[in-house]
Amino acid sequence: MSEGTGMDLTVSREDMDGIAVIRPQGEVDVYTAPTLKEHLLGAFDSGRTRMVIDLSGVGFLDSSGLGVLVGALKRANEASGALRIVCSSNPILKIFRLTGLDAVFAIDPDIDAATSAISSDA
Amino acid sequence: MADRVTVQLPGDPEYVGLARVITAEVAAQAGLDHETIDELRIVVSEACTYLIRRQAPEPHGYTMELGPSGGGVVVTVEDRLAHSGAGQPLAEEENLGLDLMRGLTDEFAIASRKDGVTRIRFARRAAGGRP
Repeated sequence: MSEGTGMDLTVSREDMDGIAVIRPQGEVDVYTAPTLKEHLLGAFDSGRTRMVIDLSGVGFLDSSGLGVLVGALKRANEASGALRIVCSSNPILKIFRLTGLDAVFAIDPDIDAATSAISSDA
Repeated sequence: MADRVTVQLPGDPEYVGLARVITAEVAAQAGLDHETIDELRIVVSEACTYLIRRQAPEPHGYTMELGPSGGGVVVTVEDRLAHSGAGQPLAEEENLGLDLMRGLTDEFAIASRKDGVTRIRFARRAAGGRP
């Protein structure tokens, strides 16, 4: 597991059966989004193309964070990989709905559902 | 009754979090519920971020004024100085930000003057007062 820290955001990564599970904890905004982006790019650069981003520990997310997630999804698609989001927070799910990104991302309520979906598609 | 608050914040992205903290305090004093406050924090974050991006490459900062009005909170965020970024094409994140600002407010207006100064004004009423 690797870990990095910004002022209001911590990001950890765990590999589960070849799937990189990225867990940001804290607030994702214009100041902290580069920290999340750095960790996602690090996962891609180390050869991970199947990825779950677990937003369970994120208390705040705005368009800066959404932009990073969209970039990661494009990168995963270009690599013929997979990227799923774990989120059960109604306020954050509302952000995905308002921007139309709920139709772009595969969003699961928990890690097991996300990893199972990726494994079954492999 | 909460008073109106005016703050001048630097263009450093680090201070957007402070803008959210101030917003939450004023909104709580105005009697808004927790969910509405959280959504207002998102809109403020988007407005500040929008101005910072438009001020690139050398963000100079912005003025935020907010206070209670009509059973909710009215917020104005405005560039402190003239600049040339207001006419540039919008990045993907800026379009997403505009979607969120429009979707989470009861009133929303954005206007740029000829000198590039952009002013974003929005209102959010308490949940029971929304249309």
